[in-house]
Amino acid sequence: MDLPILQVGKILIVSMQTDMDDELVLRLQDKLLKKIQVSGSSGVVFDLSGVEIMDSFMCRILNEISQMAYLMGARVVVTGIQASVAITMIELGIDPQDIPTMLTLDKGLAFLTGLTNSP
Amino acid sequence: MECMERNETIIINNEADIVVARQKARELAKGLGFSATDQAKIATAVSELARNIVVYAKRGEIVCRILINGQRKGIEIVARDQGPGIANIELALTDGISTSNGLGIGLPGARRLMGELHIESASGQGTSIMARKWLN
Repeated sequence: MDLPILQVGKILIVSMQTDMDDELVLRLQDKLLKKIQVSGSSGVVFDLSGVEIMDSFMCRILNEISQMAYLMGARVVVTGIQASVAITMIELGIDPQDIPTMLTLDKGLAFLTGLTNSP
Repeated sequence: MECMERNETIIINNEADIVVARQKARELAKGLGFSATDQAKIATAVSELARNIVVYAKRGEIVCRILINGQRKGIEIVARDQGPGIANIELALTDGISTSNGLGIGLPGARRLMGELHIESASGQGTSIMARKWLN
């Protein structure tokens, strides 16, 4: 079972689920980067609205995937982090770093579209 | 002090068991009446402890226990393995120090999330980590 990667224009959307195990996430990394290459996508949204548990491994991998996507010319935005997950992540000790975050998928898409459209 | 118990043991053999352990812990926490945020904290702490078992010891177990002490209710998580043990417990509880390319926040993070965390371990002698979170 793989996470579906949806495409809207030049933007890819990945909808994360709570019960993602390590293998699934590593397969996502592979699949997503290939898709960026093939589609010429310049933006990716990781939507976390279906995620109730984020541990340090998941944070690290998503961050790494973001950096790999960046090397390929695609910006990653994270959307939909639930309040309880945000509280837990900071208390765990996660550094939110520089990955742009938005509350909703809408805003994430608007942000990425804005980036693509700027001169 | 009267403690009623209900145990759930999850055997940890591989990465997939990490998901089982955290979901089970979350279920128990929910049943006890922990808030959504506390459920997330407990599940995340379990995920960190279970992952350490997989990374360092390859196999072990997570035992989740419901604690009832009079009016007080809580959850106890014990993560144990027969792995290489922790040589320097104080270092292991320091943020940012990782012996496995991780973020180095698993143990100190689990302690912050649960509130109470005790480690029994020595080099070559396996590891037992006990963490508790009280509802009231």
